[in-house]
Amino acid sequence: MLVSVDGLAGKELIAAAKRLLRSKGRPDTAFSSWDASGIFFEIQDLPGDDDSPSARTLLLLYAADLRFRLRWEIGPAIELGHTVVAAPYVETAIAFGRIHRVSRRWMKELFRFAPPAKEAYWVNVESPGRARTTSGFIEFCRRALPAGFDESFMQHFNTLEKRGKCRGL
Amino acid sequence: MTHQFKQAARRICAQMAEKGRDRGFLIAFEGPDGSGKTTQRKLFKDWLVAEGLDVVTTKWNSSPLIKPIIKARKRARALDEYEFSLLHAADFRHRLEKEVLPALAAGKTVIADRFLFTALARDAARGLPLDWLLHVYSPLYWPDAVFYFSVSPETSGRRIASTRTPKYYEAGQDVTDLDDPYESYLRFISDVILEYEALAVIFKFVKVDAEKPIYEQHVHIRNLFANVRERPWLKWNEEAILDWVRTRAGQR
Repeated sequence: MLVSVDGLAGKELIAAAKRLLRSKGRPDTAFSSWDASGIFFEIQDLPGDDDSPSARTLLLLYAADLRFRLRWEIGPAIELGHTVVAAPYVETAIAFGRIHRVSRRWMKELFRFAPPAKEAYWVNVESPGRARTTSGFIEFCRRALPAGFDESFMQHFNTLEKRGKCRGL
Repeated sequence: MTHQFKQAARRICAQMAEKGRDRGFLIAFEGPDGSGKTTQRKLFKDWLVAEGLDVVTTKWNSSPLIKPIIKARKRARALDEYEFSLLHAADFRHRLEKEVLPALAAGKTVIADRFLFTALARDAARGLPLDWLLHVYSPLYWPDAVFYFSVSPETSGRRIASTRTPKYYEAGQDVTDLDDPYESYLRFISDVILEYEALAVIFKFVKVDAEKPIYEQHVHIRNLFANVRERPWLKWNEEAILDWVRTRAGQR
C-alpha cells in the first residue's frame, strides 16, 4: 500500500512520515524521501535570478526524481507487499506549481505515471526560514518562491482536506 | 490575472513592432543521427552571419544546469524511458526560457540543432505515448521553419559506424535489449525515423534529402530559407509567450 505525506517543511515531513510508519505497527514498511536520485543534490543551489530555472523546469526535475523513487524504492516495496510512505509525493509539487500558476491540467498529465496513494496526509508545519536547501524540495526552491508563499501553500492543503482528499498530521 | 499577463505579452509584441524591429527567426534542424544536420547547421549559420544577421545557436541537451545531470546518468546507464524524457524536457525548457526566447525577442536569428521534435521522435520510439510527450513539452513553441534531414536507417547507421561506436542510449540498447550496439542502433533508428516521418507530415516540416551531396543540400536550404515567413507570434505561440512572460515577471 502506498501512503503519501506532503507539506512544506522537508525535515518535518520525514519526521512525520517516520511517526506514521511506527503507528502502522508493521515491520514490513518502507520509506521514500525527496531527491533519492540526487538530481537536486547535484545542482546544489539555484543560480541567480537570470539563470534561475522556472517553476515548470523545477517541476520536470521533481517528476524525474519521483520517477526514480517509484522505480527503485516505492515500486519494488509495493511488489513485495510492503506499506510505503512517500514523503513528499505528488501533492507537494502540485502546491508549488499552483503558487506559480502552472496549470493543474499540465501537472496532472506530468505526473500521470505516478499511482495514486491509498492514504494521503499533509503536515501542517511552516518551513523554517533558514532551513538548508538540501532539507526538502520547498527549501531548495525557496529562492524561486514569492513572499508569503506559506499561506498559499497551507490554503492548498486546507482545501484538499475539506474535500476529503487528504488528512492533516 | 491571466488577462494581465495576456496584456503584458501583447504589450511586448507591440513595443517590438513600434521600434520597427521584428523578432528574430527560429529555424530548427531536425533529423536522425548521421543525417548530416550539424554540418548543414554550421554552413547555414556561416552563411547567415555573412549576410549580416545576428545568429545564436542552441544545441540539444546543452543547458549548463541540467546537461551534467543527464550526462552522468547516461554514463551510468541509470535512466529509464520516463527519466530520460523528463530530464531532456527540463533541459529543453530551461534553454527555451533562458536562451531561445530572449534571443528572439532581441531580434536575433536562432538556429536550433535539434528542437522538441527530437524528443517526440526518440521518446515515442522508446514507447512513451505521444499525447503525454506533447503535454510534457507544452506550452509548445513552434519554430518558423523546421528543416528535416531525411535519410534511410542504413545511411544513418553507416555514417555513424564510420566515426564511432554508438553509445548505449544513442543505440537504444535500453529498449532493444541487444548487446551489439550497431545492431541495436539500426533497429532503434528505424523506429525513430518512422516517428520522424509521421511528425514531418503532422507538423509540416521542410524536408531535405540528406542523401544528396553536402553543398547541394546547403544551396537547397538557402533557397528554402528565402521563402520562410515568420509565424505570427501571438497566433502560433501565445501560450508559450504568456508562460515566458509570467515566468520572467515571477522572477523579478
